[in-house]
Amino acid sequence: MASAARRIVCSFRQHKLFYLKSRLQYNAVALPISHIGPCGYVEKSHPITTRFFHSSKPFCGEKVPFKLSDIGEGITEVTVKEWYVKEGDKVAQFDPICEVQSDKASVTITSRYDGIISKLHYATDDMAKVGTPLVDIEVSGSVTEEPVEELQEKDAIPLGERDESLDTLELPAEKVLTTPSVRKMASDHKINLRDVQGTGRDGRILKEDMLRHIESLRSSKSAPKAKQQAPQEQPNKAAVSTPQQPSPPTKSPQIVRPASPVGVDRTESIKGFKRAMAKSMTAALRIPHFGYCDEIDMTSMASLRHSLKENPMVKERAIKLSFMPFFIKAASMALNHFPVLNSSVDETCENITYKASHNIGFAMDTSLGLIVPNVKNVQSLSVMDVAIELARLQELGNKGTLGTADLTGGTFTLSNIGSIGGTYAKPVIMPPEVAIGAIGRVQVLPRFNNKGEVVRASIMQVSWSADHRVIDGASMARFSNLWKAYLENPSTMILDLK
Amino acid sequence: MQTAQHKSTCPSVAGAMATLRYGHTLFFRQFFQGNNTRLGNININTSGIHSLNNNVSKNLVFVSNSTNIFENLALEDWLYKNFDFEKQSLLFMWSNTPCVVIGRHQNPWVEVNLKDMKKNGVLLSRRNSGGGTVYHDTGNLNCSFFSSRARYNRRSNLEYICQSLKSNWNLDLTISQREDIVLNNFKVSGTASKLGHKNAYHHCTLLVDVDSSMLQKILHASQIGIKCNSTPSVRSPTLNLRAICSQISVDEIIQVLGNYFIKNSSSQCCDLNFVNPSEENFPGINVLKLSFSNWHWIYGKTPSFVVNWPFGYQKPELQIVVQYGIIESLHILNNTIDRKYSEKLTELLLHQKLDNNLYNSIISSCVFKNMKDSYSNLKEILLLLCSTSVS
Repeated sequence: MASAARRIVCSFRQHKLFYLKSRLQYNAVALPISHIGPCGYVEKSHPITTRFFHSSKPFCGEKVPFKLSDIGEGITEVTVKEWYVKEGDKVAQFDPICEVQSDKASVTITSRYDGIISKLHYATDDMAKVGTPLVDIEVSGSVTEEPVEELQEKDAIPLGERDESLDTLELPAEKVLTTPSVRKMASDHKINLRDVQGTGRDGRILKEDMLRHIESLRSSKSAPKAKQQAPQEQPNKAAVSTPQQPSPPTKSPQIVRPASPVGVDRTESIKGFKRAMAKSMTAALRIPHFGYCDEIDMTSMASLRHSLKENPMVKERAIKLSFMPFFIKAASMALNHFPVLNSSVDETCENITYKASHNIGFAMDTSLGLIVPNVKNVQSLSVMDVAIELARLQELGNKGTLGTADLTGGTFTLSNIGSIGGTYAKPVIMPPEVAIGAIGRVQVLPRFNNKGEVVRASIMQVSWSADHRVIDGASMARFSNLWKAYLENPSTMILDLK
Repeated sequence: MQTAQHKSTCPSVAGAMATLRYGHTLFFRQFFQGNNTRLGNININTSGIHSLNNNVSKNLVFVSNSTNIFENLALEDWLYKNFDFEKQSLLFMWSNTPCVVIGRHQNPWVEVNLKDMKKNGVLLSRRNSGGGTVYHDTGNLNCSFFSSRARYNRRSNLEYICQSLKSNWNLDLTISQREDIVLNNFKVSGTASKLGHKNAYHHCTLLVDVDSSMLQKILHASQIGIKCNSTPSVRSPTLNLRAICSQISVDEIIQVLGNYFIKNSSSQCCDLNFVNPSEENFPGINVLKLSFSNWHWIYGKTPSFVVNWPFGYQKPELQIVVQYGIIESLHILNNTIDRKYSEKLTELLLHQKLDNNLYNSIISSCVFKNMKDSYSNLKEILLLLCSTSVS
């Protein structure tokens, strides 16, 4: 990969657009509006991370104390106002670590190294002395920056500048093109930069080149990690695609490298659907839940469905008729008799709103996580309509293109966890609803019939959870009984057909 | 006043605009061919920028056409994040309709009286730099000096201002120890700055003709028993420059400061550029505007604090802990409040954001109606805490 012949002075114009493009994301990230402050950095209060993560292999890097550098103006002490990282977080070079304040100046301290934060020396509101360690970073050997990013930090070339400027922008002393972090590494290891082969653009020495050089100097040590190709995602700052590179780690000569462990921890930030779920679950558990479970004999329903499948009317409509449309429609019919279960309470529980539409949500497991779209106005739909709507929503859900209209406005939820497995469950209510049902697996079990004989029965469990502030056990029980009655004797659904 | 008459079209327009997004290079032409004048009788042509020579430091001046605090804060932030100041410095001048700007780590409930502000239509905003609370109106000029981190020098910026004002209006301005500009022992300017790893800016206010009575009224917070670690403001008596020199005005200062700043650059350069903080000119600025004007930044960023009630008593009865603008916990101390009321209070207040919704729920709640009259003060304080409004 490395080649001295790579020292080509490129015409600046050819790469002008390339530089512009790569400058694109320097600190100017798309900010989700509500929770990110103008500084655009990771905010402790609303942990949406704007930096990317790398899947880690255990770092056997050295713990480097990152000292608080001189702020200037003769300032010796600053107050640590906000941390953007915590112990165990991964940081990349130039990621913001914390915000300190000194005498009306608010300073953002950025990391000098790539690595993992192993220790924070100060807490929020502590006075930190300039020159003392601020954090300890376990420096990694993995290189995630790629050639253009080096340029971004150093070159910042305004358009229209002449080509020679490329060379003069770097510290002219050695005329070796590289970044400050690599220079520091060289001085730490007492390496002459001219000895190192640069593989970056114009022969720039990249961190990887430096590390490789250091490796080659220590030929006695083994390198167990050289073969690992950690799939890495781009940091926000480098917009251009990175070729994946193997990562030889740095280590000091004193450390004896232990044998590589079997499993690795992987930290991911919680984003998107998972985050929304985390938030809604936190809100949901403020509701006092009570559970009510029952068993439903699905024998008649199973045979009904079986016969309907063969029916020409169903065949010609080409819709897959599972149990779910029946569950949903039966629930809606039962809700007509128990409107309190289709209501909503406000946050302070001062008002209860009895919702007119039965927008019954059903839990869907997609590659993105758990989502709960809802079928609107089930009270006006037939079983077939519900089935069609379900199919539509399922397709959208699998593609990941469900709209907000489909995901909001639910008034009641059914979760068919039984399609995956399980019998009894303890579902969590989705605010602002007040009830939810979890349907278990259909199992074939022996049961006694009226004559006292043991017969085969298809048994399915259902577990309801309801908000005990507005719903009492009796209402829930009666609702469940009614729903059960509809399903055990599907012909009774005809009685209440509207 | 001078009329800039030369109209040069610059072939390589991008001289100063080092780092704009790919695809928006057309911005330069668009931006520079406009003829934005802010002053009726003064004709300033936004001319092109000459191409850069190496190793020459360039000084640019921008003046905002907007008087909306959020737009201006967003533009300031945009410039901080998107410009490259390795070879140039920028002076950005702006002023706003009446508003209060609190420092990054300050507590608005401690610094200002929110109810008064609402009554008088004064906006509240939070800036990115540290320091204390200031009141702005159109009689106040804000100057933001942008440079690279290495060339950041607060004092020299303040010297610029002092010298240019001295030479034009003979004002005896000095720089105090706290780096305020002082005239006759009164403060006429406050300073704050923000330093990042590449760029830095130092901004300051300049009281030219500000409504002093409103300033005094607004920057006076009533004590409601808040204990916090946020940066306190240091109050000083202030003075308007106009009070000393009646010919001075914000517009004239803009001209003077702008030209003085430009003259100090080693390259022959452009005139003052009047800019509109719009998405066209500064792609990505709309998101910044929204982030500066939303509740989570202005109120939610407040470092955590505790409200003790009643204030001033050695043994408070109720302690409210607020974190990120949300009531995190309530502590009823000394068993002085009846259990049924304390439960209802907790229900009403716990985990609620201090915003209009909570304000309305407190007003419509019957908890206080049934409690003793001595608790009406508690209700008032709670309502004051909730008078957060973001326009």
